[in-house]
Amino acid sequence: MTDFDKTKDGAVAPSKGASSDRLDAKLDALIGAKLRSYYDELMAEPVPNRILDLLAELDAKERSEQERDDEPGHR
Amino acid sequence: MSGQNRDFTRALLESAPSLRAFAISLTGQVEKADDLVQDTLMRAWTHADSFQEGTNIKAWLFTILRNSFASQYRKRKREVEDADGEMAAQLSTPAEQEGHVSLDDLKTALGKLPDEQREAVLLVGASGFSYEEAAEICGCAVGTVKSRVNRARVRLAQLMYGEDWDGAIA
Repeated sequence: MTDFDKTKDGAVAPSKGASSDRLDAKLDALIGAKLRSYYDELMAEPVPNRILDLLAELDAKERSEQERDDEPGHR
Repeated sequence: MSGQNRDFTRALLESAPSLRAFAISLTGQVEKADDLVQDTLMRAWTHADSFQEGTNIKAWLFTILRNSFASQYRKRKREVEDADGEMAAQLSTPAEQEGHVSLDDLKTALGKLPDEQREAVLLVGASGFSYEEAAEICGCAVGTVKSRVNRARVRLAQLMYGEDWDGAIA
C-alpha cells in the first residue's frame, strides 16, 4: 500500500505530507509518551507469586523430564 | 523434546513482566490480567512443541495471550465499533486541562477504545512490536494494524484532551 506515510516510527495517516507529520509528532507527544510511562510503571511491578510459583513448577517439571530423557536406560 | 527446554522456561520467566503489562492494560483489571498471564504460560508450556525455535518467542507468547483474551472477553461488547465520526461527536465532556492528564485518565480512555484498537495501540505503542509483528499477533493485515493504531491515538487524544486536542499543545 502506498497510501501510508513512511515516517520513521511507521506512523500512519493517509499521506498529507507535512501536516500529517506534524499531527503525528503531536500525537506521539500526547499519547506515545503517556503510554510508555504507563508501561514503565506496569513493568516495574513485581510479578505476583502465583505466577512465579507456576513458573517454578513448570521449571521443576521440565528438569525432571529432562533428567529422565537424559538417561535412556543406562550406559 | 531437546535440551532447549530449560531455555524455554527461562524465556517464559523473562517474558512475564511484559506479558503482564500487556494483559493489565488490555483488560484494565489486574486479577483478570494475572489469570490471563497464568493461562498463557500454561498453554505455552503445554504447546512448547508448536513453538518454532529461532522465531520470536515474545511475539508467540503475546499471540497466545491475545487470542485467549479475544475468546474470553471480546464477545461481550460487540456494539463498540469503530465509528470514529459518531464517537467524536459524542465527546461532550472536554477532558482535563493540558498538562494535567494523569495515568488514570489514560487508563479510562484506553477502556473506552474498541478492543481491536486498544490491542493495536498497546502492541505497537507500548509493547515495542513492529507493525508487521503486531499484524501477525492480531492475525490481520499490516495496513489494518496501522489504521487501528492511528485511530486509537486520535481517539485517546480526544478522550484525554478534548476535541480540540490538536490545539492542546503547541
